[in-house]
Amino acid sequence: MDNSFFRYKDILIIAAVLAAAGLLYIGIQAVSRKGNTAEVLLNNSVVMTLDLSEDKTVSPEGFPNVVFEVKDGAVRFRSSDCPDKICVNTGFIDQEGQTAVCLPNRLVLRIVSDSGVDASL
Amino acid sequence: MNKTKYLTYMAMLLTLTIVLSILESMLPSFTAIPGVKLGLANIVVMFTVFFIGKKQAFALNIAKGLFALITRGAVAGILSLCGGILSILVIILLLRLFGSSISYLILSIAGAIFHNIGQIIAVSFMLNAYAYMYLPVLIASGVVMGSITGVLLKTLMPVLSYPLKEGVK
Repeated sequence: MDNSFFRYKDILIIAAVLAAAGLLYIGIQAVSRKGNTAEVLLNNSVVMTLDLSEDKTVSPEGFPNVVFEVKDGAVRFRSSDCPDKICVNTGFIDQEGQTAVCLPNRLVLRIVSDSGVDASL
Repeated sequence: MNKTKYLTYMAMLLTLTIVLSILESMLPSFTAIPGVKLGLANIVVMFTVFFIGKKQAFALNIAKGLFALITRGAVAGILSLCGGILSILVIILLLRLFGSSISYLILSIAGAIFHNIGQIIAVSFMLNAYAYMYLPVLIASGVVMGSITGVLLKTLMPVLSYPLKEGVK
C-alpha cells in the first residue's frame, strides 16, 4: 500500500467528524429528561426498581457485594466486587435512558420514568 | 516468503497483538467511560489489513477474541470480536471506496471509531441497555486514540514489515 500518512484535507474530515459528535451530543442532551426511577436488570429482566426521590443504599438480591446508592435524584454503583470497576467509575446517572453496566456481574442499572411513557406528547 | 517463514511471521504478529492487549490492560484507564481505550493491539491488526491481507487480519482478530474469551471471559471475548470485525470491515470498505486517496491517519481513526461502535452494538444486544448515549464521547475518543495508534503504526511500520522485504513469496 502506498497511501500517504496524512493529507491536509484530513483536518477537514476530522473537524467534520468531531462536529458531528458534538451535534449528536447536543441532540441527545436535548431529548433526554431526568428520570424518577431506576431499574436494575439481571440478564435482561428487571429484578429491582429504585425510587430516586428517596436517598438510600441497597444491594440487589444475590449480590451482597454490589451496592447501589440513591442520592439527590441520581443513582450509582457505589461499590462492586467486579475486577474492572467500570460500573463504579461510571458515577451517578439521572437522565432517562442512561445506563451503568457491570458486565462481569451481568447487572444493568437503567434510568426510566414511571410517569407513563411519552407523557409529554 | 516460504511457508515456514510465513507461519513464523504470522505467529509473531499474533503474539504481538496479544502482548499489546495485555500491556494495555495493565495501563490505568484514562476515564470512567467504558470503551475509551487506546487500542494498542489494533496497530498490528491494521498493519495486517494494509500489508498482508484481509483474511489474515480477520484470523488475527478472531484469535485475539479467543484470547480475551479465555483470559477475561465470554463477554470480553464477544466485545473484542464485534469491535474488531466491524473495524476491519470499515477499513476494507474505505479502501475499496477511496483507494490510495485516503490517508493512514483517517483509516486508523475510522478503525478506532468503528471498533467502539461495534462494542456499543454488542453491549446493546447483550444487555438490552441503551449504550448509544456514549456514542458522541466514543466517536471523539476514537478520533484521539485512532490518531495515536496511527502515529504508532507509522513509526512501527518499517520494523513490522522488515521480514516482508527479504525474499519474495
